[in-house]
Amino acid sequence: MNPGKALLRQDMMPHILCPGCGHGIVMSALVRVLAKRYASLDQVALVAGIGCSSRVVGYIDANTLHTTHGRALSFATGLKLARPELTVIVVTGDGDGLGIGGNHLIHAARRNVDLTCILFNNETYGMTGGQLAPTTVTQAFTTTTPYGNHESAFDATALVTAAGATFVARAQAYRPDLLEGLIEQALDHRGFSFLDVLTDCTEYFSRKNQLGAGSDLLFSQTRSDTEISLDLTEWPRLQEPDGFPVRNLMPMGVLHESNRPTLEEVMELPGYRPKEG
Amino acid sequence: MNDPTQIHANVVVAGVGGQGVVLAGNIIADVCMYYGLDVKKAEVHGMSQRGGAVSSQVRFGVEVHGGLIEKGQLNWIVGFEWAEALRWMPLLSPEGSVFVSTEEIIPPSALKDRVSGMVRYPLELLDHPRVRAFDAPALAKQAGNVKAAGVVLLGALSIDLPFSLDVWNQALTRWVPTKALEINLRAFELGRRWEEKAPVTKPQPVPKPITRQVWLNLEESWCKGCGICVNVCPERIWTLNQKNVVEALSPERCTGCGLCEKLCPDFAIDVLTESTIRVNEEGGSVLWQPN
Repeated sequence: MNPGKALLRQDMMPHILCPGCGHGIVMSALVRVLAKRYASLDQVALVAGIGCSSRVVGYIDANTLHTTHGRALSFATGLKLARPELTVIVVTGDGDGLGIGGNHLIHAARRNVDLTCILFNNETYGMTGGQLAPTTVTQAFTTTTPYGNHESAFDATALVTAAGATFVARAQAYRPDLLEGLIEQALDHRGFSFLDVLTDCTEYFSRKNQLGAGSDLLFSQTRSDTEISLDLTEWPRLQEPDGFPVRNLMPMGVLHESNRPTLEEVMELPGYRPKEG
Repeated sequence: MNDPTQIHANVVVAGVGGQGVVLAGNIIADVCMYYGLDVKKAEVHGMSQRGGAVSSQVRFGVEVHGGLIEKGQLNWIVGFEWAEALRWMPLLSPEGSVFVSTEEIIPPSALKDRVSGMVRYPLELLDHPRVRAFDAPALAKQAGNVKAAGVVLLGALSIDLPFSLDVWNQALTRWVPTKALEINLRAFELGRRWEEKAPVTKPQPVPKPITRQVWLNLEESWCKGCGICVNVCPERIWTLNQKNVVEALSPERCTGCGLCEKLCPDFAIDVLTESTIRVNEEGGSVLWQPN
């Protein structure tokens, strides 16, 4: 049994996510980790913006904050500085965190606030109707790119690494154990930890690109033949089997880990005295 | 039989892929060749990938004509694994003896009934007077590496054979990787003294049935019929019914792997195993217990 099930707001369930949506799997892993680590969620705050991914926090019975589009990290930074004793987890999507909120993302990483940011990357804007997102791969079809996407996709992990995040990892809905382990590591890390989780949009992205539904779509993540690697030079290597670009050979696992003073430590907030020596 | 240059005998080394059966056969053959004996070796290998049986027949003497051992002509069985050694018992000569490790490696084919975990492991001949069984991996661990268990058994065999310890050690030096040599020489020495060092630890005469109980709980109203569980289940126990809601076809086949639960986006499936549930003493209701 998923021990995290006891942490859900039972009256809100079942959630609104579409049948087979990968977000549900990531949410399941998240609450499993939360239940394992915290006896009570009183000291845990979940902050989300707008989008399918951000709906997830509404179902978890912690301190939850549903904020404006793209600004989840800004709200979370304020919350963390005001209440440094809280564990703040930001749940955001690729449109929310990288599109409209891209600026907030890089600055949260630059400040190295002690937050955990989980980015649900489904390559599209699911809630508003499947429009092109900054993470949509080249040639992919969306409602706004009926002739295929001409743009290149963002690599969120490379972006936040460059911006100064101190823990950067990538996981997949298809591998719940890896995902759980990385969420735990991200929560353990002191500083800005960023987790890019590949999920799937079954209604829009999958339908437009004929990736199938349910288990077929989930299994299509294995097609990407992802490697668990620490070598950043491996990325990006998008390939085009069957004429369709997939998220090929994206390295999984911890991609970057470093240590520098967090914003709380520099500001000498309670519980964040700078380490000696 | 005490003149090492006039001995005529047959040895079988039996075990499971990966245990070093072929290497052990080579070492025995090497020792025999030192004394100028004619050695013939026949092996069955290549099944190592899936925990399959590997055996090495070593025949040595002044003149050996064929590689295969006839029924009743087998002098020593060196069993790296108990059940594999048992396979050779019909060939054992009346004076022959068996050195066997009590280690059990259960072959995948014996695990068909994965739900109950019941395994019929043959222990009938463990009390056979010619069988000398001891916990070789434990001695190997004592020597420094559990992988040296095979050499422990060779050490035990070397007491019965008239070859000198120096020759055995030379053969080991030639065949064992240099970095593991010291451990192996130590393991060989422990094997020679197995009787004093290792009390015979016999496995339980009756294998304990593992009763693994798995409860499946389905929140039908939460299921959206995506079908992920139907296709990820290794035992194919789920199906979608006419209402497009998942249904357990054969819950008794569930092994409790929990894949469906972890990959269900809708929290509809609970796989409850003994480690995750606690039965309430009064009511007998199923409660969740953290860790």
